[in-house]
Amino acid sequence: MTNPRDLIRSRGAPMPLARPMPTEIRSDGGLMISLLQAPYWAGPGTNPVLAEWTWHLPLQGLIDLRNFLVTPDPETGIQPEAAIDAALKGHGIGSYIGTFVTQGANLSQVRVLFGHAPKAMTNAYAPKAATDPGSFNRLIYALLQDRDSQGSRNLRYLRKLWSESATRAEVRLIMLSQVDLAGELNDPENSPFSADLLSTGKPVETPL
Amino acid sequence: MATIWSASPGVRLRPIPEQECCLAYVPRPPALHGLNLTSWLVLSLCDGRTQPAIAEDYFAAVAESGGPGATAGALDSALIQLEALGLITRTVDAPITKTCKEAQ
Repeated sequence: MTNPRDLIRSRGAPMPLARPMPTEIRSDGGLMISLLQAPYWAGPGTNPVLAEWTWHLPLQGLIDLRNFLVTPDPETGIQPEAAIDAALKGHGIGSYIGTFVTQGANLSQVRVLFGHAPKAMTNAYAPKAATDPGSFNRLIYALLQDRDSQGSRNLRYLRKLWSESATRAEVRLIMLSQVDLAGELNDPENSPFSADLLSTGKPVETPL
Repeated sequence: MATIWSASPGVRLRPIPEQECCLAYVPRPPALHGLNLTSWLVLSLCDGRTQPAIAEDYFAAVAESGGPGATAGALDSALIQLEALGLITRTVDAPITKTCKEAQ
């Protein structure tokens, strides 16, 4: 019975409904990466915190970004990635780990990773800010004000791409093995709610 | 002056009677649409007939079984939806509501 008349006769006539169906989009599995070269900048160091900027780009945007990353500055002859890494190291912020692309079907997510050591560094721009978890943004902001260095200029370009994207996001990845999680959570000064929960098994009452 | 309704060029249907629906593929721009029984019936009637002729056949088909699809505005609603999705085209412009009421 493949005639709608027959089906309607037996099932009744619902209100008409015609709507687009979401369809699966097949692809060749994303970017084909056949050759990987080791980055040319200095090692990322042993920073326990990674800061990540992510956003999405169309394919042409990825090609443009890749060209930017590998094209040496006409004045200094230094490639942007090396200049950014040197700038971060020079300002005691951490290191530039790299700009990555999430590989997968229909994905074009750009992920820029920085290494960061909040408690281990001293910084000429904001020494106090270096000791708290939110220091990275303030230090990067201070670096971006530097109008003279190539690294700062190149980093501003990446940040501009990030700022223009509707899907931009920032995260911190903290190396769990380097965090005294129980100690932090049991410290009533730092974690009053969690400390009470861990010691008594009951959440603390919120003072009115 | 009556409106003549026809299926858009290249539209392909894939009936799924066990689920009481029909999939319709439009090639340009490529899209897949799901039609329930009533919309499927209306699309099958859009074969170059005038709107009064479609209304006559449609209400004859749904009158016996009844249901929400047998109400006065159901055919208009179906035609509007199908046209918006690019599944049918009209060749003579005329108010839909007036001709449907006339047909009943």
